[in-house]
Amino acid sequence: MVQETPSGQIVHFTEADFSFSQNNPTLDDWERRALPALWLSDEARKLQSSHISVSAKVDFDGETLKDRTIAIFTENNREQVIVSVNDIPIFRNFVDNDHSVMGWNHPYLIPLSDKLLKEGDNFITVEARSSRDHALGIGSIAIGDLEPLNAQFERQYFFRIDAPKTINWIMLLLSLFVFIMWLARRQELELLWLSLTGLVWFVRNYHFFSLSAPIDLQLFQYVTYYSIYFAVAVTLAFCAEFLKLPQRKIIIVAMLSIGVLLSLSRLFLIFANQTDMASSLMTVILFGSFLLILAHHAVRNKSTPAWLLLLLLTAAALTGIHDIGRIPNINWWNGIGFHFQPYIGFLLFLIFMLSLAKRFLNALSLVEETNVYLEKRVTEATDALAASQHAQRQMEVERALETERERLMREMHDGIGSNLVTALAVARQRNYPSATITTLQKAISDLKITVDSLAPIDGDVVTLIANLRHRMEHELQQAGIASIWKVEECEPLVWMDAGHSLHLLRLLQEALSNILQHANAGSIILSCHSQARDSKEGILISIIDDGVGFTAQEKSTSKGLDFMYQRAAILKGALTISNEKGGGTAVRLWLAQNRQG
Amino acid sequence: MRPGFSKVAVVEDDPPVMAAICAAIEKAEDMDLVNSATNLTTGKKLVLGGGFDILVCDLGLPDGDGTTLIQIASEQSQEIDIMVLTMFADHQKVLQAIRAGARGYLLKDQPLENCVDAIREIRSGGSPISPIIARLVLKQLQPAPFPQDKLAEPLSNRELETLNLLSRGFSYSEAADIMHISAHTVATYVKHIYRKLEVNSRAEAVFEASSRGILGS
Repeated sequence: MVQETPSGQIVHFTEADFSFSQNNPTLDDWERRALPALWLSDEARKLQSSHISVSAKVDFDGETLKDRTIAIFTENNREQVIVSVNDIPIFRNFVDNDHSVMGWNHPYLIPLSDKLLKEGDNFITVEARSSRDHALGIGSIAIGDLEPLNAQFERQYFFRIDAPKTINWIMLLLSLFVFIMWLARRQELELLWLSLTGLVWFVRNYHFFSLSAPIDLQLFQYVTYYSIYFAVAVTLAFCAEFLKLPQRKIIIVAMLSIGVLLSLSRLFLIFANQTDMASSLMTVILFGSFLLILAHHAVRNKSTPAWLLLLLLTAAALTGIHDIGRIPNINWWNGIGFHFQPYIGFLLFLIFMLSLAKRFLNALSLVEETNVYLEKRVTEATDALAASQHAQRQMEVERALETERERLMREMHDGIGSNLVTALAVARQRNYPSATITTLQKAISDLKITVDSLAPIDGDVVTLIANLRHRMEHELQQAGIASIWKVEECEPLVWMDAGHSLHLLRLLQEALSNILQHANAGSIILSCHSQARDSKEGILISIIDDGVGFTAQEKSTSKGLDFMYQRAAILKGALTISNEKGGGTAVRLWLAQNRQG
Repeated sequence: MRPGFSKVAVVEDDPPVMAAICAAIEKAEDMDLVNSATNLTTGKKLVLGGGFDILVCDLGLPDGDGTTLIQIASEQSQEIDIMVLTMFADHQKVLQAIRAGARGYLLKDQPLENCVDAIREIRSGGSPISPIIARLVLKQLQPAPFPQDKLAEPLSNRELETLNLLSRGFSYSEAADIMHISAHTVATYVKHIYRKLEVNSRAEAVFEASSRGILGS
């Protein structure tokens, strides 16, 4: 069959003359068969005694290839290969009679000197040799221009040898790395299964890219064959562990047991000289049953990772079927021209590792988030504790104040107050001079104001003034003075403690007393509202009467006014006492909202 | 019993004060002094004996606290009005008395002839309150932010409004004008507020007692 390519011509041989003669074959020994003839082992074993071998001879016309750079391309020969042109050996893939060479997956490109070619008929002989327990077969033979054959060779070499070799060694290194990680974290069983997945697949795939067995060929063959069951088993074990399937321990043990069972069954079949088709089928069944478990889990838990793994494993199973079809004694198809298997192990391993890495990274992020959250909680708790301690101290102070206040009040009630009240009652009964009664009343009033200053009103100046009005309302009414009340809601003055309250009440009491005694007023306006001064928040308290006012002289000699100014100074307030235009007096006291700064 | 007629009992240890009150009551035509006592022991007998509509009671008695008497009297009958005699009407004493069951107070230094007016006021359904006491009651009876701290008898919005105005120094008639009600209604609100203060303090006491296991379940 002649193939024309842009870069030249290739002759693919579709049939050849075969001979099983291990000495110099005579003309009669040659028998024409189709190429490739991949499964000649059974035939050879019957005819031959020690190792088995076969030769295939193809003819071509030397004239057509004259004066061109040509080469021979051959692949799929099991296992050792000797290529001769016109009975002159020009290539062999082994040294001496080294039966550990495995040439089955290696493509060979053999450049050919045109000096070797004769005019007219030429022939190429490909002799394949194998040990008795190995397969024997002749693959494809082609001759033609070097350039197109080289392209074909390089493609095949890359996909069959270079790429599988590279990724499988990478996989082995990564497995080692994962295994070390597992040693550090024994509880993460996924790590163990992942490293085993990588390791077993490496062992399984070694024969794809290596030309010779690293150990005894027979042993190596067993290891290679049986490792597939365990590669599948540990792969599935990883999936079960990764997805935390329910009863995964049982599933994993079952997978591994089936692996052992399949190994034994294959061993038995080999001894019985049967093909291992049954084991391959059982591997597919094992895989399929796990896929069912996975599908069940995916449907039940609506788990996206489970669906993705299911997809991946199904794809892997399909490529597995592709590869089984390429086995020489099955030979359903040539497929894409090389085995998928050395890639599948790596692909599974890589995806598993990435999934695991993603999970670990997520866990790390979660830890970080948790840390941030916990730190926040700690800060909150610390703040809350500080606040509660502050509140507790505050309460202790308040309680101490309250206790002290109670003590003072008891003194006043039982002692001085009680005596004053009795004295006042007696004075009234016996009609003592009004000066006596007034003095006693004034003493009691002073005490009342002191008592009021101790009330826990949290700096609420409005209530404080209101209470003064309440206290003096009776007196004002008796003097015929109407009080007009104009207060607005004011922010409490936080700095106003009992001492300050007393100064404020005394100051206002003095102002009201002055009105009662001197002003001859008909009404007073009591007001209180917020007012800013010099851009400082504050409140303005004012008492304005409609009485006679006062003279400058009165102002300078009055002791009461002096006291008022002194108290205002203590309160750091601004006090003004002035005559109103329409008559009467205005007392205005401004207090700052905030005494700091 | 004549309508509008009050039978008054007085417990007071200070003779001149007692004399002044008694004189004022006897002078009044619409009330009668039915009994009096000068200490806690005789006061208890007086309260348990009953037969009065108004109890005027001092707090600082020589052999104990007058609050006890107020509590007994209040538990005995809801019909009785109780007034405390106080020197300064300081918030602590007044609130303590109100929680025990008092509905008003008389200031000892005021001319005691006027005490009959206060008695008439309280009989007609009103109670006095000072701005400081209004503010403190407001603080205590404010609607709780948490449902589990809910008061047994929370204040109505109208009562809260009243307390708010009174704590800011408005007189009953001024508050009444602002709220478009009569001054008498304001006084009645205050009396209701006092009653709620008492009920809530009882509920608190019961709660505390039961949480300490005194009352069992």
